Amino acid sequence: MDLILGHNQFIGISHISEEKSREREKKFLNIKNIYDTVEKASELGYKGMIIETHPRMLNFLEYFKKNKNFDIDFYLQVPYVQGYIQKMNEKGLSGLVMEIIKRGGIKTSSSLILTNIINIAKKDYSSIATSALRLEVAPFMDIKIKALFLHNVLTDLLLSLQMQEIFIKYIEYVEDKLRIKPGFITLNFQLFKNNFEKWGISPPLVMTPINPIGYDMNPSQKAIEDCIKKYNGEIIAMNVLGGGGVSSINEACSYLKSFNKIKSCAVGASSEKHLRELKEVFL
Amino acid sequence: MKKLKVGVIGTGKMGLLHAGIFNALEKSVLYTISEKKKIIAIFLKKYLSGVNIYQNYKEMLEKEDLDIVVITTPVFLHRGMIIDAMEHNLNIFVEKPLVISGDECRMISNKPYENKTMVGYCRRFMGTYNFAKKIIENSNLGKVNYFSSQLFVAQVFNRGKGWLYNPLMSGGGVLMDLGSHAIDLFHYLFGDIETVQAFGESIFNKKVEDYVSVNMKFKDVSRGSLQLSWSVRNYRLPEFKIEIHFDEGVIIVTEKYVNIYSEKETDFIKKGWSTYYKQNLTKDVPINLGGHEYTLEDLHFLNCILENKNTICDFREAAKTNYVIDKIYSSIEKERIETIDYAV
Repeated sequence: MDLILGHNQFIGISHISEEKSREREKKFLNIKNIYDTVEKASELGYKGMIIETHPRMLNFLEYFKKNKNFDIDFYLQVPYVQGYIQKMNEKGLSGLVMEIIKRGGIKTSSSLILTNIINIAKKDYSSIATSALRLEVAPFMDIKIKALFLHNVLTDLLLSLQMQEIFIKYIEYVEDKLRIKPGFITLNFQLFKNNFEKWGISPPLVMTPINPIGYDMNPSQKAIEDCIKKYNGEIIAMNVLGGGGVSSINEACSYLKSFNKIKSCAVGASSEKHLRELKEVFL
Repeated sequence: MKKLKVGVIGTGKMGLLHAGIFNALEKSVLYTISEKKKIIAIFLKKYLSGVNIYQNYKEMLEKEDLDIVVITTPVFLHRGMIIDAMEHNLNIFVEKPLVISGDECRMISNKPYENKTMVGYCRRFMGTYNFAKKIIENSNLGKVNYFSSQLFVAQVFNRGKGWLYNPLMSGGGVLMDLGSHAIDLFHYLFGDIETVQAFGESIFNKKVEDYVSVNMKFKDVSRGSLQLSWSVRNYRLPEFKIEIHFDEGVIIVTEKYVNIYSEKETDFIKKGWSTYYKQNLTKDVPINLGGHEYTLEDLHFLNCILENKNTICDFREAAKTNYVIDKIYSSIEKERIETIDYAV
């Protein structure tokens, strides 16, 4: 089974407790500690890592580009939802839109600011969205991006509201314009699979929780097991240790391997010891 | 089965969340949305097929034959919208807090109302806090003597912009926004509050408070305290930690875990320390958008409507939080102990 290193630990996320989050936060405030962990993962045979446009991960990316002496594939997750929510809390929706426009100006060209303003005036939502997406992806265009995942918050909201057209546009834009493999993260795999079948969209790459305690396998573990067996697309397992609810790595691994079709999984590890433990069981 | 028709007013973060959940549940369907901002209303019209979009909620209530209205606008708009929804005899779900003040609560609660009401205090639906409630109610560790608590998030380090930081629109600062969750959960876990003594401080914002400290005396629990702020670094997400001291043990409960120390072995608690994580205390949900608790709360509301039962956080229950918040502000301003008056 291929291992993909998750990035939550690097940005201070722990499903277990906020104390643990803060411990990680301290450790990975130093970008070199992220780099060293990823380098060790690469040495141990981890095939890729997940990354997003969190400011710390962007700093890591810069550090990686300057110091790179190992190879690893990147799985990019967009958009940086937490950052957007924070900006919305601070500045409101219009403040967030202005922030995106401004960021476009700084990071790319001033013509993009104008384009965005025109798009807003014309209510050309599709262009606004693709321009925001292009901005998110811009810092990563000179590294190897294996797939571009839409964050589960957005995937699941769009699924629940049945916004079929947005899924189609996302897939087309990522494939045709960005030339990256599109993917989706979802906590609602049954809804995802059923909708994509109903809409006649060929099953794309999906990343979804799969663990022996059924945590976040919504609506039920049994339903998701059935969906996994019947899904014709590629699946990457996440939350394989049930967000900390599964104590045995062996049990988690056996469960994943019981579905013959799952070839890779995302795991979080913040130390060499933990990276090795996971590798010994999964690889 | 006929699905209950849902209309949502306001499509901020919480409006979209409830719209999505109600649309995905078996017993309900998103039927219509009212969004005042033109640019968003046009977007929704374009991409949300089969959902009628309005910019004026009154027109929506007038024209549509709804079963449920979900109000997720800035707090100062709640009262008028609730009264309008009551006139249309709808089942009403309002995002927390219920309204801006105790006086506004009285205007609403004084009206006899037969349909179901609910306020979105989502922590009532989290597995960890419900586990703590079970221990309190079953007296597994004896009676509660004292608790201390803190609710922190790293959110405000500059003067905030928008309605949330304008007291005329929000009703207050961190106490109204985050603190209302804490006060509501105190009612859920410990019952009614008798007196409060508090102080508050504005550091980053000029017009609303960023830090609040409250001591509370309860009818059934001797004492409790709350430290509250949205300007505390290294709290990426809101964390509400309550340390409850019983005759024969201690519980530390947060959104993510329950740590228990027990002096004796009971039906489901070991002697000594034990830890339970939310992953093992969370029920399956039909859909998860941003947290199991939101789905459980919407399901509870639907079931109460269909089975004609009162919700666990109806307007009368949620109003208690407004009454307590009023007295906390009064205690801060007048620098004295205030007695809570829940009388409607």
